[in-house]
Amino acid sequence: MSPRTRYACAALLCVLTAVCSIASAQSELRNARVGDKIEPFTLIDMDSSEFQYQHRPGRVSILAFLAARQKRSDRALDDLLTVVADMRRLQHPVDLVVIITGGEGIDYFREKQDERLRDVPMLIDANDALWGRMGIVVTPTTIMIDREGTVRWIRAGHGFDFATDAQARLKLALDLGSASVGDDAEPVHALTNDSAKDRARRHLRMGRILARKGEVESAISEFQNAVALTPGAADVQLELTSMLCRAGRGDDALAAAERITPVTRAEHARLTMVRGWAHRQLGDLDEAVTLLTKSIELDPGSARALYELGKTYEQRGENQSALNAYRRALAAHYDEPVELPSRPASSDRTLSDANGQEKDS
Amino acid sequence: MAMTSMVNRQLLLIAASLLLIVLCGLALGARVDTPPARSCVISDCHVEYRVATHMHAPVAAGVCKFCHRPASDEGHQFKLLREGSDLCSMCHWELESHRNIHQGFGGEECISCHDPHGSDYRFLLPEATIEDTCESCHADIFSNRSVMHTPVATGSCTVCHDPHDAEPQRSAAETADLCFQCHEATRDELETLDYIHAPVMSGSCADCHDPHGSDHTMHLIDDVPGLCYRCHEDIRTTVETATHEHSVAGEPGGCIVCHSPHASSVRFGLKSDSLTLCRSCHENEITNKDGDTITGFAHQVEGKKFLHGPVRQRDCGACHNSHGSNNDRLLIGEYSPEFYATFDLDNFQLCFSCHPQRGVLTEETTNLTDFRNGSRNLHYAHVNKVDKGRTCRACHATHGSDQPKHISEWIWFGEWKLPIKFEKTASGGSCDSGCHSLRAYDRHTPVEYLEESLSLDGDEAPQAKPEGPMTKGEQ
Repeated sequence: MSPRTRYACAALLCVLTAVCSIASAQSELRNARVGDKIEPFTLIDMDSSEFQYQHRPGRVSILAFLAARQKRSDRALDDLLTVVADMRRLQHPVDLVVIITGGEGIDYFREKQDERLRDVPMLIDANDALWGRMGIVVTPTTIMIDREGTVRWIRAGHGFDFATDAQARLKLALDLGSASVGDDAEPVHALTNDSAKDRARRHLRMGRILARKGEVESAISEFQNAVALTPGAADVQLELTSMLCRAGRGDDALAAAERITPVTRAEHARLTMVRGWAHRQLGDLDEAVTLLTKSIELDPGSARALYELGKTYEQRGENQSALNAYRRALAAHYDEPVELPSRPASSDRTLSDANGQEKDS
Repeated sequence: MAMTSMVNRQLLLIAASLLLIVLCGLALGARVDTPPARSCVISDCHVEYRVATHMHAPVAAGVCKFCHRPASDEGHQFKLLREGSDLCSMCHWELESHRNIHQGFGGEECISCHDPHGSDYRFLLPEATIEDTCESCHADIFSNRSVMHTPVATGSCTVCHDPHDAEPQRSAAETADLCFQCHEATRDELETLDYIHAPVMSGSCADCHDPHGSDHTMHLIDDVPGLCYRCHEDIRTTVETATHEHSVAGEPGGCIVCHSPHASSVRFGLKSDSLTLCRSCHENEITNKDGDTITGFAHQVEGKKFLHGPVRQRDCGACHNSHGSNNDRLLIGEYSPEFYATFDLDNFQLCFSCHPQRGVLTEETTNLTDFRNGSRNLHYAHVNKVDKGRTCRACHATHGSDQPKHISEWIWFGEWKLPIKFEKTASGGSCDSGCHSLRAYDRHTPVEYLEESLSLDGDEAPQAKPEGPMTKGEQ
């Protein structure tokens, strides 16, 4: 063997060793895993130009391995484009890279008319080099890389929750607060609108509309339906009780009030007010004044309580006190400060026939 | 003192009146207990106008000439100041702003519904209630409907309709806003959900619901699934023509067992994740209406170390068409039920819907699969054969397995249950199955097989014996 031949053999051996080392190293890179750093890669794009992918610090990247004429790939692409566009609208740095696997169906992607694809690199993995290196087994497969270049999410396939999952993962990758993903993900939620609470709300709303239109008895009926659906809800019962008062049914209102267990200060105030209102209707004016005064202490901004107090004073012939209460009621209704004139309370009793016929509407 | 009292009283009256207006709204129709004095209505001619509980304000005030004027200087003849609604709008001018004046029966306009002099009923209506008044012309709305919308059932027409406005031009968005007056819980929920059914999105509630009532639950315009099929014709075709039916799909109300008709947080309007929905019926073995036994799902996946991707992602729909299919087990593509099959891409439709078919079309590869000896693609070696090609099920468990790569622990070979002892290594693995003796493979250092043991033609006799009576079809 001549020296030249020996040299050639040695060189060939070196080359073969190097090739084997590279092949071996590439094999070790197979199966990209969550937590791995993403390595640069080079593919050609649809214009046959070389495209080198290298992670851009501070930006989140999404690699989408897609197949042509595959419904799931189409849906995945649509979802990703939507999610990315939403984030970009909020000025978040997100890049989407499409990798067409197997090098087939390039025209299929070329002919897509979606405007959102305009600035999305469409790369061709013609001989499955990247496919093999990443360890991809299905299309679509989505790989999300965070700002630091770490793989944060690998999703094989496309299912009913793909977009929801992608959105949550992207928020995490962008460090936009917490999002529950994977096994901790929020369960699927569908609109039900048939819970007792929902139905009660419908009756309440309808009752309020009817009340505005002067259909008081129909409104009462709706509120009674709402109470039946949510028997423990103080706010619903208070609506009914108020409406009973408005209908002039003080005794029914008091009976309904007995069943209410107020929790909040506002509920206490309103319950006390309607009880005072009912007592006034039943002619128990002293009790009415006591309750309405207490109600106003709990909620000084209640125009209705002040108005009822005025009515009660008026029925008792205490017109100056009534006037004061009415003025405060007007101020409360229009959210204005009120300055009460200092009038001697003794003048109240000097007025004659200050009381008018009850006219609640 | 007397002056002070008078001022006080005047102030009192003013304040009380103001509050009455503010807090109680506008009075509609005046109830007047005292008959008017010195007017036509106390004469012998027009005494009947005095008896109404609710009198029109001019009548109550005895000012007949608000509406009437003498037809001539002589005689007791009068005519209206203006004709039709023009007369009413002299005072009730706000009603002219309506886009489409409700045309009263026979073109009589206002007096179709209101007595211009007085009535025993509120708003000077001819009937005791609004419902009765509307029904006198719109009887069809109130009849022949077993499921009424609440406002109709309670006679509260004015919750949705302005009786003075005919409203024929209401847009979908306006309709939705109208519905959301009461259905605010629905509106609130919609704001939290990403996948909204198209009619809901466009506000076309009436595409599915009759706002007055119908003979269908939730006053729908048709029964489910007929209602759904009006738009989802493709689903109807699948349900009605599939050789393998999914019983729930065509049943009354079947669609809404799995789908929310309004909105969901996920695609397809699913009420829950696909796996949960399917397991609600298929958790354990069931018998369908044809008497066929459907294997339970629970034992196939519970405790398994390795779940197939779609199962892990709770997405049964990745492989099964829940509406019906021409493939066994409602699969979305052909999945050969046999152990052996002549290689044909059509036999692998199901798996190729996600996995690339070039994985079994490429004999040599260093990228496509980990299941290779050096560059020899062992998927190709097993599957791509004219005679006795292995099907996917020959080696893989489709739902879950305790072996890596979803390799089955055993498979049925005829009546025999053959174990597959698969071992995975860092760069390959080995398989000691009933099909052949122990074979290893390595991607970096290819294993050299003896020529006589290379056969993968299925000529080797299965190595295992049957393990007693067992039920087939568990994979």
